[in-house]
Amino acid sequence: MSHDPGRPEGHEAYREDLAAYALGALDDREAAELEAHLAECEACRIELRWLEPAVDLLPRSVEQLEPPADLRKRLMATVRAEARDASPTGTEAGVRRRRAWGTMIWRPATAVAATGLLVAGGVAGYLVHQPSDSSSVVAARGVSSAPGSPAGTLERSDGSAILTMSNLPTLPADDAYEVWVERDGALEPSSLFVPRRDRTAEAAVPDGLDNADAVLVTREPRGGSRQPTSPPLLRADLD
Amino acid sequence: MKSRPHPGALERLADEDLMTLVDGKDPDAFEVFYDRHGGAAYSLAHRIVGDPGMAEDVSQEAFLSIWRSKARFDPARGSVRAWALGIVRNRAIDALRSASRPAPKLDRDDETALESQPAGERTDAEAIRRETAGRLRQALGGLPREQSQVIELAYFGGFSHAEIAEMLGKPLGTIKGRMRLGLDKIRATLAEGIPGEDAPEAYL
Repeated sequence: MSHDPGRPEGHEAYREDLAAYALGALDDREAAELEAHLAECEACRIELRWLEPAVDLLPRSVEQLEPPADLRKRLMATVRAEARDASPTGTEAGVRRRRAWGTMIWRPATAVAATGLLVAGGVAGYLVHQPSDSSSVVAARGVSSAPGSPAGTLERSDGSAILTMSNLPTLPADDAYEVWVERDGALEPSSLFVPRRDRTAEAAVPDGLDNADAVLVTREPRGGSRQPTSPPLLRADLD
Repeated sequence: MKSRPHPGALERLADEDLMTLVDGKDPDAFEVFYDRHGGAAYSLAHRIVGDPGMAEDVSQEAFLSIWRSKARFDPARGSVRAWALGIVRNRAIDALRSASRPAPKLDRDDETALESQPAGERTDAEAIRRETAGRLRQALGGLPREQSQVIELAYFGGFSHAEIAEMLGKPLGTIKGRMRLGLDKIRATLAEGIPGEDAPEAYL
């Protein structure tokens, strides 16, 4: 359906609608038709991606006002009440177990993936343990400990943790780094991140790390993967 | 209260990482998220609906829909800020449509911010936000009026290209062309870099 013979100018007609689409100025039917065309037409996707930053700039050009303090108060009161309600036991872990990733269980698939990963890990990544002190900082290391190799630390507090990394290879625009939590040989996807220009990054690991064996970092397509598609760059063992 | 790895850790997280925590229903992360983007969101809502009370309602609904994960952030589709402001824009347009809609004023240059307070400059972030907005307005002001007009009617007014064509008494093709020329021109300005902004690597 990339070409409608009844509409020989099909592509050009859609192309002319891209700016209106980016501005939210097509009606629902027109927008749906254009989206169907976009799914098949890379040239139009590229043009749309070129136009979108111009539209993103519009909301930021408006006169900047001070939001009413009441807005923040009401919003946070609702949010904190809902966070408590979502956790009948009142524990953080109860909240965390409800997080979206937690509903996606890929155990059968990831068990296989993890086997491959551990083999790959033996070659491409190994772990250096640092003696855990009370602040619970674990080193995350990669292939080499030579200067300039990816390195990092995993800082735990309660159930969550923050991974602080440096010397990460710069990524092409379509890729991102993905954090994984290894538990009983299965890998659960956690956060996605892109390093800063100085190749450092901090990534949240919001999942409860109870019973987790390790935290890993792999390079993945920008939208993230459900199981790793590359060997880990960094690995922090938690035992 | 639970402890954080160290004070200010949340504040230092990139937006994308913060959103992961928000998706995990972390109210502290949400608070940081609101403090980062609430001002820009409210300002946008106010620009569209033109009324402080309605702008407040729109902002609250938009942030609650984010908190309740009705809207999910997809890192492949751009920045967290652009995503969040897009949600605010759509809510504001919906609110405008469900209220009895006033006749569009075609020249809206001087009718913003009559009642609300301008943003303070208590923090660097606020000062930067205001300065960036000023520079962006200047860049937009450089567009030919016929182009900025159709862009404003579409984005801030929520009018479709067909409605705008009818309103201005011009053929649809002319309106589409003006939108395109205007966005291309903004885009070219962006590629040159907006002073005070990070070099927009993702844009190039």
